[in-house]
Amino acid sequence: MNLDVELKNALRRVEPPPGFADRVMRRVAPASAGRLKPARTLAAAAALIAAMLGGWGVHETLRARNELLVAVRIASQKVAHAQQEIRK
Amino acid sequence: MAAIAESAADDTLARAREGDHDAFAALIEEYQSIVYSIALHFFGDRARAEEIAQDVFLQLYRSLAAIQTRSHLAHWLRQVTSRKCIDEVRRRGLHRVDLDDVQPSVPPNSPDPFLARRLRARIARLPDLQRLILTLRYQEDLGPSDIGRTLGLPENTVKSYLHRALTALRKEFA
Repeated sequence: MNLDVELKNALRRVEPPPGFADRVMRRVAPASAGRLKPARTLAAAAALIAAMLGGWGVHETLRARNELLVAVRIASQKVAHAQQEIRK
Repeated sequence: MAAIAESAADDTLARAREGDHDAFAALIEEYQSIVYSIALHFFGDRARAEEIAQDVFLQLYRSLAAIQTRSHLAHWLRQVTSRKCIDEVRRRGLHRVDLDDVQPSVPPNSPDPFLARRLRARIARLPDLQRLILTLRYQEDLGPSDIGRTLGLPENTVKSYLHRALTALRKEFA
């Protein structure tokens, strides 16, 4: 008997049960959710900055609109006051 | 032809590193028998071998950036699988079960199926490190130097363990 040959036969490689790769990939998917690629990380950062800038822009627009309304209100009060003075 | 195949495999590795899940699945299918078989021959338990193999590939996914070539990948997989097997035994105090109960059917090219079965049963009773070294020697066809690099052992220590394992087996089978 050739022990080397018998050992190679006894310790040969065996394939895992079917679907092994799929089972691993199912575990990989949640792990990869927290592992963004550099390009995706940059895109996410850019989107965040854009959102922040966009938010800032909206805030500025609202502030300008409110200032304009106040200015119009003051102007209309002054006009009404002037009209009253004229009537007197 | 071999160069083309190797280049394609390196390309698969590169794509897996870039986050391509299909490429990573292809790598798993290519290397799964190495990982699963080391664990199976060590524990003699299919469920535990699958568990270890899944953990190894999950760890590979997280370490892909450090893997540059196919040969590095194969070495990394053997090394991590071997360490996981030893760690698992130390952590849980597990003992190997008899491979007679769990081995798949004997291949048709085996000259003596009963001999292979008896041999596996005897290998199952070898000390853990001897069994692991024997597996890397005969399953993976590694020499003592490569086994030493895989397990972090001096080459002479590997030769000594291998000699003891083979002497024990020859007493019963030669």
